[in-house]
Amino acid sequence: MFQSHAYFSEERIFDELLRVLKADSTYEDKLVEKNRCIRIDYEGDFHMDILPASLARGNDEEVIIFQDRKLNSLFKGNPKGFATWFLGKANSLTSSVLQRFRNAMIESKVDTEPLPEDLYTKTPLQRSVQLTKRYRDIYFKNRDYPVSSIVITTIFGQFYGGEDNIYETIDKVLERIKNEYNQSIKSHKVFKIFNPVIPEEEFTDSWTAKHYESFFNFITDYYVLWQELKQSFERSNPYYKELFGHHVYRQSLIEKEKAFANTSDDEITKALGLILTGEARSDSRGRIDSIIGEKHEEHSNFGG
Amino acid sequence: MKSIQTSEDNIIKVNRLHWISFLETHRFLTEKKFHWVEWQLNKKSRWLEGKGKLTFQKQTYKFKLLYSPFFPARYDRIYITSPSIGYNNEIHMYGDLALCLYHPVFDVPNGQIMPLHRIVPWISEWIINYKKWQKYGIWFSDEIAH
Repeated sequence: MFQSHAYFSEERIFDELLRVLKADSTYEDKLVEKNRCIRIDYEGDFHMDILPASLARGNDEEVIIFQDRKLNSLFKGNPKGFATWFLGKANSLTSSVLQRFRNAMIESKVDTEPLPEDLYTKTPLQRSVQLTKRYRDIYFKNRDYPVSSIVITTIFGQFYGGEDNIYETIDKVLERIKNEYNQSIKSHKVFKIFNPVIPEEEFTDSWTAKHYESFFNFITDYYVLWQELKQSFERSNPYYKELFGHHVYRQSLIEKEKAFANTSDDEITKALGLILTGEARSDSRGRIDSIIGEKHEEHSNFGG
Repeated sequence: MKSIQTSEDNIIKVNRLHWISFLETHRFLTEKKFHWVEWQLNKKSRWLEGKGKLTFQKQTYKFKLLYSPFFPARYDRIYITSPSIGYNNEIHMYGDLALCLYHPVFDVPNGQIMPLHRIVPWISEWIINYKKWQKYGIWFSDEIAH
């Protein structure tokens, strides 16, 4: 039996938080009651999960106790400890390809459009987990037994080998997961995933054969698609769309084209940068630049 | 909505009634700004006909441009005559392979028509987007699906 410092039960804490949020007009129509948390579902793809919990009695002040309402049981968690463990794994790398690229640009004083800081500073492992969760959302949109975020984060942290770029990280981690999984089957062992900061907690303890099948199919499918990215970009772009969705793929390319338009020698990239930033002008020969000619008016391509 | 439609109908009627002066005016305004298209007034077909070419990255694209108030729905019909580019759902073409360069409702002011000189720069934009589409498989500029 877990013991907490709280004067109230975990169930009461959950109910009180829910009551307060429901009374607030900002949140009342955005709330979703989940088994363990309360979700604030914002418009678009954004949501925030709030986990009502109490601090556990014991030596470790980071351990919390929360309730699973479906199972009607209490569970221990250590989100702060987990974050520290994961960041430790992620930062085991001295510098990433993107960080080195950024440093080189700063040293050579290349004048570019400022890019979001975390584009360079997020480690390959952090970004890989983010991309994998994104594909998880797409893959399981119409499938049962989705793989949870905590499992993805844990397993990527555990199988990360210090690769210095996102592509290699995903490639190698998926390969290692597949190998480990197949090895477990060959040796008649169950493939288990444990909480790295609460070793007695097994994330896979409630998994049925269907969960395992779903997990392995997801990893295999992801791995197969990822291998397609090894082809030239012109041939592999349908796989980027399949992996991360058309919108994310398009937006990321738009940001990339805008960012590199100023420094590119390629006339198409330069022209596209001007179009995307609304600075395009056409001269009498139909060439696009930012100074001479008629300013392009706003419009949308239509049709298709 | 009805009054806007009536106003647009009236403009089309007036444009058709004075079609020669209407087309010559648009020819003048467009020629003043863009030299890469050569225009002729085709009195038999009652349209302005333009021919021109644009070169990007050593690839030359040849165009045939038609503009007439007698066309249904919109006055422009802009085709790429070389190289041959087939219909694709993603690259903003009409079924007859004319380029879809703007939205016929949202981009056109209420009760107005789209002037020719405003359309011409969007042809260069279309080519830039097309070149990038060939590489990445997406259309970068703002787009609205049919």
